[in-house]
Amino acid sequence: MKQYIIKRLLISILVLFGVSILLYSIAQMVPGDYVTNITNGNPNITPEMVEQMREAYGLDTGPVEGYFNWLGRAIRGDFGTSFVYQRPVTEIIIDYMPPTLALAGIAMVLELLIAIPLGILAARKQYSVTDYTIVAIAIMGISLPTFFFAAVLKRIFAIGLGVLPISGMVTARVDYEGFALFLDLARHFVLPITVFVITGVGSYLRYVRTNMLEVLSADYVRTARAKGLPERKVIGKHAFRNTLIPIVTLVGGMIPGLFSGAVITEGLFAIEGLGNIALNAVYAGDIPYLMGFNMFIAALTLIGTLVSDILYAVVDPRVRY
Amino acid sequence: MEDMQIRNQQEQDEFEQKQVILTPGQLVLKRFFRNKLACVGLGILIAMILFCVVGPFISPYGEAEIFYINTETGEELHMDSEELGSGNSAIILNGKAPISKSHWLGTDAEGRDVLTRLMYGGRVSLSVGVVVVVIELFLGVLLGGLAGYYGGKVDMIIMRLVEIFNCIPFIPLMLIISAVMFASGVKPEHKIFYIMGVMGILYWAGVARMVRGQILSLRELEYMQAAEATGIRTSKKILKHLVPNVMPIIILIATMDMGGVILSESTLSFLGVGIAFPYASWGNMVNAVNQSVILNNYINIWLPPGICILLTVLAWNFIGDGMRDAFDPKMKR
Repeated sequence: MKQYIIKRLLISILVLFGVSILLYSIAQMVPGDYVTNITNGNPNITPEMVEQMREAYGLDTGPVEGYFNWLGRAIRGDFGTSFVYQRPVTEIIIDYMPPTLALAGIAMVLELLIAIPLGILAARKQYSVTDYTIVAIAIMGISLPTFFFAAVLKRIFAIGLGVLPISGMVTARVDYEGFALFLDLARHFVLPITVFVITGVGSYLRYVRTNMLEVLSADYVRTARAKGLPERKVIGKHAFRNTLIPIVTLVGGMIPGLFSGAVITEGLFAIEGLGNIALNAVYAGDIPYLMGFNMFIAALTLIGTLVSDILYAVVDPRVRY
Repeated sequence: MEDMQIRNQQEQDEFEQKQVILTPGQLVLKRFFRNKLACVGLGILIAMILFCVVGPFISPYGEAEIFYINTETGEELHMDSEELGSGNSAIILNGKAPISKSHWLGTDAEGRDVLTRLMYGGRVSLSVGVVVVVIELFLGVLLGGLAGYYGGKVDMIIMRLVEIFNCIPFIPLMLIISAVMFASGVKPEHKIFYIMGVMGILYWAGVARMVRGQILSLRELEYMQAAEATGIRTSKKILKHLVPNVMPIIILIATMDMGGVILSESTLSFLGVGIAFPYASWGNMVNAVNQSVILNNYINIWLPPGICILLTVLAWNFIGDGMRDAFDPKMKR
């Protein structure tokens, strides 16, 4: 087990190295006069920063040397200074993480709470009307374009009925405190979370359903039925516990998705989180931030897969490395 | 007694003659068409393709044709009309026109016919889907096949590449690529090709992983040993014996991914980093909702393209789902 984890960690570092080369070469493709162009109209940018940027992307030294310079700083957690915010990228990522985490975290919990019971229900009644309805609704959720669904929700609930705020995180020009502030935040989070949950729940639901179907056709479930256990016990004790194994790995894989999935939703509802900043960074040409953000997600993905693989061994005693 | 035997024999023969023997392909089709959702999906998709391919020939307007209106006479003018140059102040842009006989879905903020743009936008969305899937399949099957067949070092290198591509999520990576494209001044009319290429390159990793898994298990089967024993060339072994057996999974990936690709493309276009003016795409048509006036009052501009995306992606997903069930030999229905 220990050996396995060490081996996986080493591979992860290797992969992360590859990711950094890939991202760096994409950022390298910007034309040479880009820094001058982008910084021309911006009075906040000092000549030192321009120099730093040129240096960071090897515009002066050539790509290979530039890459190692960049890597040396990146290992120490220095991803450069964001053009837009005039602050170190790492600091920005830490500062703006809470809204993203809150939004995506709540959505993830809700998704699991919906996907697991409904997936199991659909699997138990395979080919029934219930099953078809649940699967059809799940596929519809997957097929919904996030931006379109958000527009429809805004049109109905924010404009048509006027019951929920259209965007932002807090009501402007009102200073709420304590519990009132919390309620105000909650009201602003209702629509984004709805978008998140409805567009995201389908794939998990199908995953749970497929796994449950597999477990239900296993021999030990037949044995459990044959020995006369009530159906409630067959499902709850024998089948459900075994479907939990793949679900655990699923949760590990969901963590990075929380951050990347937030990009669009946050942008649509003007929530000041990591995703929204990334979106604005594209329009502002803020490449240092985008590099940092992508590296951050890549590292999270690797940690997520590693954790889910280890968890797999923990929850399933049959797995031995 | 003998009479009985002859009769039995005859019945047996008749039974065998009447029996319809289906090829595996026919079996798959039969199972596929038994799935109602899949049939609905196929129907929607055919309707969409007809709408987008044939529609523009029937529509009297062009993709970027702009309409003006004479507010005094209420007469609609075409953008090439001579009266435009006459300096008549009563002539204004016929933007956000309501639904009428001449414009079934009204016009957008720039005075272009929404229905016509819907057809052209669909062409873009559908063709992006097809091209991206072809690219990802080509790369994925090639590299996944190599990794699965040769194993060892080749496998190790290709699988690490797959992991690298897998751990950068699509949208954030696309954002940085767009920032670079924007900085390099890529022309809008070329952008669509870049987007297709980039998406194809980014999506191959998933295909490669599945194809590799399939080939790994096929390689161990007895028929492959038999093929080995005949001493045929490696290329023939791969093309004649392995690829046909991977075909079902390739078709499956193709249909399952099509919806996702169309959805991603429309999201990019909506964000303004995908297909851009003057080309229409369903995604950038929905982009009009960013003007709150349009979101509030001109539903005819943004609702139809959104519904088109939803229906098309839904259709592909239904078909993909049906295909998966149809190809699965464990399904005995």
